Amino acid sequence: MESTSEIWSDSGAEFDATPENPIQEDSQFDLEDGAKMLCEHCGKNPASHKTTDIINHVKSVKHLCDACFVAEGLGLPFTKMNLVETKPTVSFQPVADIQIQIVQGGSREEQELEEALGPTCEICGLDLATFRKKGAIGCPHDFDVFVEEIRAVLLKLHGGREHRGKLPRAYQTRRARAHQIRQLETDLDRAVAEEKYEEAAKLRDRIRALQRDPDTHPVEDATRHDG
Amino acid sequence: MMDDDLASRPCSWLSPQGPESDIVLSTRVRLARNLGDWKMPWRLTPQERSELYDLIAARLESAAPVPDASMERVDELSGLKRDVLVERHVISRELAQGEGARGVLFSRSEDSSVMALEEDHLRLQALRRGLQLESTWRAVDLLDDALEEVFDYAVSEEFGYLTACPTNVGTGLRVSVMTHLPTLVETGQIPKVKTAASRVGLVLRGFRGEGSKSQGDFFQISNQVTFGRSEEEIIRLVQSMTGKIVEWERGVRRLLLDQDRTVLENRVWRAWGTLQHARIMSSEEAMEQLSLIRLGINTKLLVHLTLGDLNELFLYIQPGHIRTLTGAGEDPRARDEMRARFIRQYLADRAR
Repeated sequence: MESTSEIWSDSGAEFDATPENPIQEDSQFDLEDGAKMLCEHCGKNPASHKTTDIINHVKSVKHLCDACFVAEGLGLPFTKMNLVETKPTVSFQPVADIQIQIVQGGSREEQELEEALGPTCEICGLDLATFRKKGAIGCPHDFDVFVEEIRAVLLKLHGGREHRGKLPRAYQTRRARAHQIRQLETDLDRAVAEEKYEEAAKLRDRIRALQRDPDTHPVEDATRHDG
Repeated sequence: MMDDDLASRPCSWLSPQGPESDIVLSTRVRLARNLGDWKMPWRLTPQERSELYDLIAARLESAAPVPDASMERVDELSGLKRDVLVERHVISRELAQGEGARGVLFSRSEDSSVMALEEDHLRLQALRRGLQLESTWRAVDLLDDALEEVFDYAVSEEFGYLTACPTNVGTGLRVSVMTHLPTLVETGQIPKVKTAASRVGLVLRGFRGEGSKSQGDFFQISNQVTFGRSEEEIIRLVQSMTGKIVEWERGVRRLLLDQDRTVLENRVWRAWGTLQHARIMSSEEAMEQLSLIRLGINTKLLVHLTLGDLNELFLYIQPGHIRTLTGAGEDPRARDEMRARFIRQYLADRAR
């Protein structure tokens, strides 16, 4: 995943010490003459971990002590344990803060004017000022009413521009059917233009069947169309 | 209906037989869902809310997505019973403290539940012991498949699942892994863990989730980003980060044991003494002392109690459970005395 490798790129290392794939070993490493191998990073403590980095398909193996292993494990600079307190950098902020930032485009009067002239949802009664103040959505229709505002908030909050992932199966079926109807309508227009009335009549029947019967499976229909 | 002996039963998700159970207590995956034809809960009038609740309850009971589950009307439960459900992670604190008609569908196994009229119309969750992201996600995904047959969800091509708060839009997915990180706390590493998590859109939260403090060195690792990433990507991200944090905690444990074993032993055994002899014990102090015992068991410094018995004790000392189990009233001082007595008795019974 791109985002995971990003943080680890600080150390240039990419390893995955999952339980299924343990790449570090608990025992200390013995050299041939019986001496203990020292950590290749700090050179002080005995090495107790073997990490495998794969960079540009080249595998390199490093032997590290506990302290250096855990420091490298989180892609952070090597520091002596206990001594360094880093302040967390907050990359994600509460919604209300973000909306305030987005709003901070113009003067207070301009904002008030914008909010006064802004849309109000006819279903839930939510207006722009309340939406900005509460940072909450009043009903599904608001996603249409405040679409630009919501896009900006989502981009700021999640860094995303469109949904990826699951959608309900019934919704996907409906979407596929709507797409198919649009295609058939294009075919119908062409058939009429070319005066192929018999074909046009067949297409019209199929469009009507699709529009009427919510359970018609669009994929099966598409196969019939192709055949 | 919610049975009376609920508070005296262990939760299945507390069993220590899960993967990485020495550090990961449990894995929770939840989905936020709303119905297309209704206003979000915070915009409903009491009348509309009541109508929608009846509709949801009827459809949940007819769909029966969770075996042997029944609907519990949370606004009709006593405050004490609500607390018990919150402490068992069956419902959220928001649902317990909300207003108006609301409820939860859950079964005796408590590993899945559906909350009705919390921040969203529906909140589906699955809860498993240890680190089990894939299977917990599959469980809630199946539950969602069953519910989309009976509910017309609010979705859009561009935004995915539409939710009341923009922080949940898209997948509506929140993954939380409850981890026990006593030596990362002890060595001041938690700010670094938070930094590392926030860089990839994850967050380290306290024991009770959003906005809560850590108690007993428990932290939840969860995703912030729900929009623009698929469920599988989010699951893999949490899996990868949790694996690293688990290794980090284990590394520091080894380091502390190597550096000065006696210091650690001293703290663990002092905690053991306190728990065995104290006469007044707040839940905060109990969490702290039990956290040390947990560390002692997992580093084999203390072998007198099993991890399973200890995990259960973490549950029973919570305020709602202690009141239910001992019959203590609402007076905090009396409750703290009851808690101390309960712990002494529990250790006398279970210690080997």
